[in-house]
Amino acid sequence: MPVAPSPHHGDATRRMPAEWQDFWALTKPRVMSLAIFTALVGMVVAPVAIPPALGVAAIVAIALGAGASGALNQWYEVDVDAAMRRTATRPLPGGRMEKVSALHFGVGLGVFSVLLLGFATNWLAAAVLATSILFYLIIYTIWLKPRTAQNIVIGGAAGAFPPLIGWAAATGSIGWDGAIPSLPWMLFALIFLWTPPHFWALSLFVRTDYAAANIPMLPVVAGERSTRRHIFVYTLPMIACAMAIPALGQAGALFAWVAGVMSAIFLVLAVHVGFRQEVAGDRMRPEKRLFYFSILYLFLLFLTLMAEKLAQ
Amino acid sequence: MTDIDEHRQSDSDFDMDEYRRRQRARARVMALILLAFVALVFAVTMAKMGLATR
Repeated sequence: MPVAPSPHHGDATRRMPAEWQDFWALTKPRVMSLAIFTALVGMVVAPVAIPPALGVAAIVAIALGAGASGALNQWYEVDVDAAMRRTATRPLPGGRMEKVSALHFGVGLGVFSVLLLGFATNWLAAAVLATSILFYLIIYTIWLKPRTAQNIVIGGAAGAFPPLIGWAAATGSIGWDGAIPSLPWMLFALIFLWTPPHFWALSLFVRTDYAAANIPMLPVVAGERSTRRHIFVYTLPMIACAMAIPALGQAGALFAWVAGVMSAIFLVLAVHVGFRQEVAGDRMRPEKRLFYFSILYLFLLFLTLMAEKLAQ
Repeated sequence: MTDIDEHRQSDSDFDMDEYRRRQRARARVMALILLAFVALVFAVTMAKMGLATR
């Protein structure tokens, strides 16, 4: 089986070009799908209807921007990914791609996505997209993640930009309604507050991975008990934010019901995870349940918001 | 391509068939992406012209 020897370590011998599927994997498609969906919702709930062709172009640009963030994150974190079982088979640590290819791909995709969004819609949306890409790379990946256990709290803002970008693409504005945050900012806040309990649930059942990679995630630095309490505490403002959306008149009765029921279930799961101790052999099932439910939670809330708008 | 041809002489382990297969697969995907991009630019242009004449 003749294959390229250690592509990212600068070997001078001939290298096999990466498969196109490896470039696709570099974009973190699952993360990208969340960005696409939340951006689409931000665009649909905006008060100004965007022409379908421009809407499609904007979504493509936002998807490419998210893909660029993923590629640049993997380019920078190749050694970290190699140390973690969950990420060791990614294209770079797996030795299927040269590191410089990932850098070129990420930078090219990022620049292209910003230009596409700017030309197709407006330069405010493009500027917010550029900010989100740079925030994810510089603030989260390079600065916060290797330095502080609060990495995911502040870094969570990176994933919260898409609805703001979708709204800006449709309206050309991301202003507030006087003293009250406008709907795109509420959606930004909801994702921002949702990220810590979501990621800390994950970090509980992959904490040995983070420890091996020397990443100061909360369970590694502060311990399991503290992480559990943090999950519970951070769930409360997230729920308050979700319920504030209908309370402020930014969503209707259906959203209020869905948000209420889903938030109640989230709270029950967070209380369970927050105040229990791991039992040998339980395989962290409650933590996994909370992690997967948190994805469903965000998806259903955004879907309901979009359904309400489309039904008007 | 020069350095690749030079390596071909010295690297007997190198699987040139696999190399070509990957190149072809990447070229096909790139062609599809470029076609999609052309269609997207056309659609965006039409939409912008529509907005301008409103």
